[in-house]
Amino acid sequence: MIEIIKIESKRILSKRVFLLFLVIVFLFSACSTYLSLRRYMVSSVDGTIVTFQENLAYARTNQQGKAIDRELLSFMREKDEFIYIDETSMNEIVRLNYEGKLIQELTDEEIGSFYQTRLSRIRDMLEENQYIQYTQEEKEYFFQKASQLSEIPFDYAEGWKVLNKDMSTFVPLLIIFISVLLLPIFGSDTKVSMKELYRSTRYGKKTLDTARILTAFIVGSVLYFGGISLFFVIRMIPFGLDGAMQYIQSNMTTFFSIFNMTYLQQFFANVAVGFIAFFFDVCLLILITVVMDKMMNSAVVFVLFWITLLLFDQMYIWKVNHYFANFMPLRMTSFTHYYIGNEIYRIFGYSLSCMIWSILLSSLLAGILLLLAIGWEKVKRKRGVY
Amino acid sequence: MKDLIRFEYKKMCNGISIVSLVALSILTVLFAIVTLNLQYRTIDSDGNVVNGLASFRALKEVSEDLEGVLDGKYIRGLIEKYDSSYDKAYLAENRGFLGTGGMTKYIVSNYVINYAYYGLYMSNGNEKVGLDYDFLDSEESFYQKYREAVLEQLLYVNAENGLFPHSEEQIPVLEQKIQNIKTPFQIAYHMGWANVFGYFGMEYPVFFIILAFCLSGCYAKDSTNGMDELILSSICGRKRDMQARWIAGNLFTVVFYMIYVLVLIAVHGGNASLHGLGASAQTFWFECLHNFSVGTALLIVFFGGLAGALVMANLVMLLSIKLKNAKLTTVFGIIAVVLMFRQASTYSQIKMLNPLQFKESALLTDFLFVGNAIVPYFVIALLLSAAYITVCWLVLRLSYKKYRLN
Repeated sequence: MIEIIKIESKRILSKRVFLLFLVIVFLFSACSTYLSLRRYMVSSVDGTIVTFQENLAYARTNQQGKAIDRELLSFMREKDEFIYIDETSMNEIVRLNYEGKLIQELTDEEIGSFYQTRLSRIRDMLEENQYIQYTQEEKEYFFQKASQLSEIPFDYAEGWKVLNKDMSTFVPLLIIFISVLLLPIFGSDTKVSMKELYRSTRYGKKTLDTARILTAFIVGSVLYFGGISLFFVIRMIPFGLDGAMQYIQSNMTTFFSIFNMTYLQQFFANVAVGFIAFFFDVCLLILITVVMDKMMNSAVVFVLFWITLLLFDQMYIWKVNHYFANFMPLRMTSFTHYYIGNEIYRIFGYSLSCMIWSILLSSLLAGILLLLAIGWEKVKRKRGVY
Repeated sequence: MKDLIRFEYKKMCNGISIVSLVALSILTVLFAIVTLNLQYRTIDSDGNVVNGLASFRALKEVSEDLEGVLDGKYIRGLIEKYDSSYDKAYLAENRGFLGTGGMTKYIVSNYVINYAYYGLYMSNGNEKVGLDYDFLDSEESFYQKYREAVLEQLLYVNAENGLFPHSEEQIPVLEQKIQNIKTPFQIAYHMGWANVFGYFGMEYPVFFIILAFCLSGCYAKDSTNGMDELILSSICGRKRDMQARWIAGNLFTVVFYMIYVLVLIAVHGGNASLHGLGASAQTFWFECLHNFSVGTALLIVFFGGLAGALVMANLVMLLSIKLKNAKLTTVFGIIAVVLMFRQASTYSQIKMLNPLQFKESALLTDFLFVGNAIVPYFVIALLLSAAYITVCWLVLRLSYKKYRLN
């Protein structure tokens, strides 16, 4: 079995293909990092350009040991211009918290009630949610979680913020790319007529099928974690690793999140959810290639599946997302909604967060798809198709 | 040659094409039914809100009494009806109704009237269906206001984002063109066609991707219907057979495109009816300068779409002969579609050269001045398509003799 897995792995992932994979991931990560860094190039008051190095260095020095508190808010209020990233981030957080109010417009009283204002905004969001009617217990649970955070540290963590944000673009692309590489695992090429030969050998039936399924997961997992690692390294080189233990609430995107987790935990959660999405995708791919048999036919169905997800994503219909898209790879890897969506599922009387239920249901669906694929292969063998 | 084309065409109708067509049809039906069912709702004749697919039938039923010619008498009657309607009271209470998939029978007539007031700031929404305007006192003043709104919008768009700013001499020509818009407008329920147009626009890039799959094997050496030693060594195998493949590829695109459009029309027609072909195009594309009905305008859109699809087909065939590998051709074809899609999403006017743009509203609303003559964008799109196809064909022809399997 191990020998067959090795041979199948080599067939799917030759050195050339692996190198191509690394080059493409590298180029994508480098371009994406460059585009992120460009956003840190800003103009100063006198019109001179602040480079991203200057901007990040300033923020790193300035934010050291800071937290969002009365002292920081009062200090920021005295400023006329917000140029560097720490200043603009703080300004954006204030605008979010005080519904569009500028930091200069805040009174001492408002500054003093920063965290109460945040809590009342979260309460409003829960009460005014037009899609979910939360029960009193759910509201209290959310509120209690949100109120645990009595102070948000505001240290430098730009690398993690950018990394977690851009994972929503990178992970789905990585999954699609790996799927394309895995297409030949069961999909046969019409011009290469080797099927009759290898299927008539001693291990060419059940053992080969099992080995191929294992190969798909092993090779896929290696590429997934390899791709994520490469992306992580390239992303973090210019920004640095500082801020891993900061709360995600110091980022304006996740400021109202009720999940009190650090950027490092958020990164691992994203990687884990991404892996489940990848697992589902590979199971679906295996089923499609087993049913369709021909590689190009499988590719058509697989591409149209992703296009369907993209089209539904463009329309943004809550019911479609809630009952379907949340368990599919595209929306599963659109990570931000897990932290700020406050979406819940009520299963057997238990309220589960969207992330937990997506992981559970998607894994279950993936298992069913895999069983269907195995069953289909078995039927084919029994019918003597090969 | 005829036989060769027939055989090549048959070879193209292989498993990949059938799977593609079936998958595209399923996508078209599923996407339309799910999204229309979950988003739309309307107010019926009894003042009840009807949700889902049934809302379109209900809307058609209640819209019948609003069909007619938008003249002075119609406008007066419309104001009376609307002011005393349940719809007006309901819209006043439910502020987000029209902006979130809600529909009322007044949207066709009232939106075009509101366009005269809001001009380039027109959008859908409860606040843009009111009829409390002085210019509605007479038919003449309404159409005068409408023409002013069209002129204002076209001049603004040209000044802000036009490829070539209008000269002093061109503006009177444009004014005259706007004056020539045939009034009064014909009002009719056309939601079925509106859905056909909207969903056609969304799914059009998918059709391009399908072409990348279906035609990638045309000149490839790794495809069962591609090139091999036998074909190349036969008497008609090089020049004539390759030419036959090109013709068959284009024929295949036309046939596939027609099937796709028919499926789309059947789905949306079955759901929301195909009524309203005779309505004025201006009730759909407010700033349209041409005196078309909705039916004629949609024919132009579909024809433009076909031209764009033929450009894509020729691009895929060109990639196929150059790369000689079906899988690589498919990958590069899809990459080309993604790049076109991204380019079409920008504000740059260069996107007018993009084949993905040949199915947009711009076909009916945009134009270019050549001297003092107005050339509609649909003419430009057809000329551009012809130019792209000719270039691809010439490069293909040059490759016939040089084609080597190894």
